[in-house]
Amino acid sequence: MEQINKKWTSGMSYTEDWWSAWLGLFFFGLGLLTIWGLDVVGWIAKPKTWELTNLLQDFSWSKLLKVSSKSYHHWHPLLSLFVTYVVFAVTTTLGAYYQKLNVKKFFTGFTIIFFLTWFAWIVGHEAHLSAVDAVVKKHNYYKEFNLSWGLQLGGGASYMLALAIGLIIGNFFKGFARKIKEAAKPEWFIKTGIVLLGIKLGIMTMKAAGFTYELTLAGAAAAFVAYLLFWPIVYYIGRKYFNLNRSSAAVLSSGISICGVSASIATAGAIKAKPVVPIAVSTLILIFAMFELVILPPVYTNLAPNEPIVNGAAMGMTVKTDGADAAAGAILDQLMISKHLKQTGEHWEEGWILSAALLTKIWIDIFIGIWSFILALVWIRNVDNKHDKEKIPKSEIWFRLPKFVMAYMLVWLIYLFLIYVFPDIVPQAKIGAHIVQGGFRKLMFMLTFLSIGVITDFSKLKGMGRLAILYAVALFAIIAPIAYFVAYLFHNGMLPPTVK
Amino acid sequence: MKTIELKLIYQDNLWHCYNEQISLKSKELSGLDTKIKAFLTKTYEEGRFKVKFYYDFNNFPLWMRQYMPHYFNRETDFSIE
Repeated sequence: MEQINKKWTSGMSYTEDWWSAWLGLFFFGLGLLTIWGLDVVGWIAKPKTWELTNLLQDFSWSKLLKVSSKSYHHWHPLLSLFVTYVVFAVTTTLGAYYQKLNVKKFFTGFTIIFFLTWFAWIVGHEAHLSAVDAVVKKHNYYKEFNLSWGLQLGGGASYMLALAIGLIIGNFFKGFARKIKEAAKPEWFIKTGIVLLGIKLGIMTMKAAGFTYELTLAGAAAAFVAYLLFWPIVYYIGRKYFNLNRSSAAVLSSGISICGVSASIATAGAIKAKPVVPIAVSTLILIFAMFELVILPPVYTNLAPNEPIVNGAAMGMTVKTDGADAAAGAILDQLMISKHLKQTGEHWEEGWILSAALLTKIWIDIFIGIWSFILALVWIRNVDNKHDKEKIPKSEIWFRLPKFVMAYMLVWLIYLFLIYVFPDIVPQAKIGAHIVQGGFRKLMFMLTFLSIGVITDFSKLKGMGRLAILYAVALFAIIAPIAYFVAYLFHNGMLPPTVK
Repeated sequence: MKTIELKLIYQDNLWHCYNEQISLKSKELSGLDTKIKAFLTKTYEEGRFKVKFYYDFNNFPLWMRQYMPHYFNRETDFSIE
């Protein structure tokens, strides 16, 4: 099937980007029904904190899992998990069908990924891994389970475990990885998760409107400044010290300094590079994104434990690809909350550090369409010297604009509308919002962690030569320090609200 | 001005543009433009033409399509006198 973008509606039914918007808006719409007293989302399963000895003494599924809402409290936890599986398998397979994926392969792959994800999610909630020695929502599981030791990683334990399982499959069981790869779609899953995170931004606005706006604007400003600094520096180094040709230097500069694979494809398209250039660069980006995802969250947590929002924003500007950035932001969120809780007993509210990481990335994603358009004009006039014959259709900006970001903003705006126009129904809206933002969004994030591991094959680094060296130098010596400086400039002193 | 729409792919180190009437290949995009001009000169005596190229994104590896669903479209004007 051909995939060409002619009209503004092109791709609405068959691109993953549009499908993240559809799926996210569908779940969001279901959550909104609580406004009319209809809870059609509360069946989703959630993992519980448990302890191994306690479980072995008296096994019960209800110690591991629970339903999300009181409306479904009479359901057996396994029924809740089964319904969760059915709903997610049906909706994603429907999307796979329209995206012309191999439906049979997708369904089989998704089923395996889904249950492996839940395995990681449940195991990650074992108290020795997750429980923090402090009171959270009236519980101190560390004390309640009489633990003598614990890693105290909070929700980060599940994320890291899912990532580790994915990486083991992707690098040591490559035959198995190929079988489930059809359903390993980290970008689709994370973009859907990000749309649902728009609900979180809405809830956050309800609680702290000023801070949310400040965070959003600071993210935009930081992303803009970072753009202007990163790209020319990396391009100059690529040309001057690594003797890259103009196309490779431009594509690599966008890939390293802007938003990874999507930026490298957009830039390559803008300068009409041969597709082999973005393909090579993208392979590199994905592997390095994994290093960033594994290394940066613990480094930032330990180096700057008192600058959570700065750390989140810096993460958004440093880690490439939406999937890896959201994953890194989610791990950072959990690690920093747990560390702060352990040290001070104060519980930062979940999601703010992750939102800081995503807001900078989302602005970067939005700018990419405009940036590519400008670059295309510059390239035609100054490099190709074809200014009199060739035109760049303005529709190029639209085709490169990430549609999931529009859905994310739409969800946020709907919440703002409810807050300001119908404040009376906000408490009812919050019921569904919490379930969708908690259960649905977190499951999408968990699926991303496992999938991103499955598609990362470190052996592809072989033969990348000077491109790989330039990437490593630019990332750790230029991008990471500048990103941190810019993040500090715009976000220093900002702290997430605390849980009362 | 007459508009001609072409699909564009990159295969075996060659750019390939085609529709039901035309199928042209070249190592560079500028080479395609030259061949299109030759085709137009041969087919029409005179006229102004807008040629629209739509890159078929299906030509990209499946694993990359999830990151960005568009490569590029381009428009080039030709005058045959």
